[in-house]
Amino acid sequence: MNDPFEQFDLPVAFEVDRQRLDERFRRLQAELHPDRFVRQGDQARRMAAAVAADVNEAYAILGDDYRRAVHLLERTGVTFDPERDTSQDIEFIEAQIEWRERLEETAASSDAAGLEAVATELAQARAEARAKVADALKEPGTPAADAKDRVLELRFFDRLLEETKRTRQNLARGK
Amino acid sequence: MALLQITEPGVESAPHQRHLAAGIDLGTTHSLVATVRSGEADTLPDEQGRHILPSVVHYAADTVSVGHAAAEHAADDPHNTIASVKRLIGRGAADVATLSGELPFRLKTGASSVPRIETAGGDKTAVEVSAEILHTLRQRAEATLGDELEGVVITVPAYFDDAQRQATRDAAQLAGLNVFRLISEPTAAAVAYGLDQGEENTIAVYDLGGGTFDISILQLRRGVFEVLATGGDSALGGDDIDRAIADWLLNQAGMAGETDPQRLRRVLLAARQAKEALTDAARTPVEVGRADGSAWSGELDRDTLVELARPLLERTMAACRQVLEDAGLEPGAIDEVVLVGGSTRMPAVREAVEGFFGRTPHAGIDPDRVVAIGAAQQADILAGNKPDTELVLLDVIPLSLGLETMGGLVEFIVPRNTTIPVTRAQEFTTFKDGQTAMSLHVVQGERDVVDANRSLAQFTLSGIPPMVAGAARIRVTFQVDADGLLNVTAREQTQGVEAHIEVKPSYGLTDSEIEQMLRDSASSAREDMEARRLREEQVEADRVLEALDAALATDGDRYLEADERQTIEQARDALRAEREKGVDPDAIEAARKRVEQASEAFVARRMNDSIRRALAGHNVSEYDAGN
Repeated sequence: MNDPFEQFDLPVAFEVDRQRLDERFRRLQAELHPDRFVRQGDQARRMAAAVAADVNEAYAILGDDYRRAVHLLERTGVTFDPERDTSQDIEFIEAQIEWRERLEETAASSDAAGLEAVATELAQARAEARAKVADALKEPGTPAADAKDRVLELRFFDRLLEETKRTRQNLARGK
Repeated sequence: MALLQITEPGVESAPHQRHLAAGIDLGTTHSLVATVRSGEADTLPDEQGRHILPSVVHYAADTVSVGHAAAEHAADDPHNTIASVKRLIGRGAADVATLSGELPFRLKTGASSVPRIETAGGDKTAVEVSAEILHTLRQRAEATLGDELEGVVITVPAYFDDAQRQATRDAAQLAGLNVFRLISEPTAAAVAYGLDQGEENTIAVYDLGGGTFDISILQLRRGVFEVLATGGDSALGGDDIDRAIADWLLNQAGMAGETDPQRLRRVLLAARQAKEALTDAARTPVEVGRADGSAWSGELDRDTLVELARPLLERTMAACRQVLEDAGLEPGAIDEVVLVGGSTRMPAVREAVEGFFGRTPHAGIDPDRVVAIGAAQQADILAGNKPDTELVLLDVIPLSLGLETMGGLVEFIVPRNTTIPVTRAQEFTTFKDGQTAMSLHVVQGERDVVDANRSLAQFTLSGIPPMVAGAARIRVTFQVDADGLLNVTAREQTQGVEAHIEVKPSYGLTDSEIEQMLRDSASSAREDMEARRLREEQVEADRVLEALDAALATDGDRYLEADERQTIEQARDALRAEREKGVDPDAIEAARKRVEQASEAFVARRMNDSIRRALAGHNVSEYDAGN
């Protein structure tokens, strides 16, 4: 697969112009989606499907803060192992445990208002984590030494926000 | 060979040639076929003027009937009259066992993983039964349009998994149809109302048919149709309302406890007619015949009907609430509501839906036909009849795809709602020293535990070079095409060994089973197989020739050296000659493959350039849009 930034002809940077990204995605799909090749034979469709899949994947990477940051770091030779990687920062590990406990408590006591309060704080903390990632990747060719830890912290908040969403749904369903 | 259809102002390969295409709604209780003619999409009637084809197939010892004719056998020959086969398609023996109590026919789950239905005409799979329905619709369309269909768009429920989609495609193949694309039923309904043209929309599709209720929440965002959530009740529909009215009539007529099946059928018929009459009228007369020959005459009004239908409508509203919760939305977040299914004609249903979502639902198109009409519009675009249409319908996979890992857990490779087509790969390793084979279990679903998900296929990767545990790197690649169909490959990376892979579909039919069915099927026996193969190769050759000529005319000089061009043209002329001769399908295929091989570099150059141009913004649409 080609580099996503090259594929979308966008500058290699953590911040992307969402509007340009979306517009280019639509334009590329309009040209390359296998639906455009249904009358040109099976081989044409298969080739277009491969290219369209590439474009979809590049779009998914560029459109997601965490995946884009991982990609930028991988470009500089940093490796990621989703199974084993955890932040090495003791303070942050303690903070993680605290966040989890708060979330579990509101879920256990079916405290909907408490959950909303945690969710709001989480969203704020996530925005701060994102700002730190942006800062660590200000020079994408030479990222800050602690960039990987910052990216793993962002992943933590993304995952916890997902869990919050599920907890909210379960509460609404009375489970 | 990807010959890009690069739209240039004023250039079109075949200006006035219309390509015949159709949309098919292959439903549980009934099916329809629609096509676009003179710019208007509409469903096609049979010779008696009936648009709806009951999804029923009757097998006698040596004849097969489909639709109304088959439905007539439901009472006298229930074992050989197959209805609601959609509930079985792409399902395995275990699922079918739980359904078999509800179905009148005899099921056989023997050697093959695909259950078969015992009939007087032999054992039939759900794929074969569905193929009969599709074949009947194909004949209807071709008789109406006067020529063969180039391709079709078939609708499937949004929640259909890979096995069910694959089985639907298999049925189309058996029926001799070229499938442009499978799209989801709610998406087709939204397309019929032009809701795909908007920028950002959250759409609720409320589909109340005769026997099933589906509610889907779609989100159109940045040109991608996402299915946020689906729900419903597979045993709830307009038939239940008919039964509620019939019970009321029996009570009114003093006939409670009536057991005579014929009289009950007449009461049920009277109930349905009264319900339909109340779509337009406020009250309607009803007459019910008693056992003693006397008759009860009375009246049913809309208020009473609303009262009778209320418990059923309440159940659909509960499902709507549930699905909104699943999507994490409030009713007010829904921008558009679309009604599908004959039962949504009832004013009481419309009022209930409007009350719940707080918006007037789209109901201008016949709710029985709206899905087929949306499919026909999409088929028309895919056939190339609207070269100016830039819009492509992007879809997402409805359920996550993953592999079984140690301890019966699932490792998700492609999460649900990923835009398709998509290719994702993940590396795995061996856990024993000297391990030379690895078995892979592909599943679909959202649960962390394998057994709670649907098993799609078992693979064995053998020929791994013996290494210490953890040293081998096995790359498993999931490819999902635009229809949501999955293809899985696995390869050992470190030694560059191309390892062998064996596919055992859990619920699907193998290629050889399908080939056998093609030979055996009643639908293809009516045609000469060889003649059909020849025609298919000729059509494919025409496609390639037409696309190549257009490509050479616009871009030949730009991308090809003289000798390269000559090689391509020689191969092209050979294909044209073979196609004109029109005797040997194998020779045409071989000539076509040579053309594809010769023009591969040309194709790649054009594709790269097209990407470059799309990004640079020098494409036609932008000039048209005036930016």
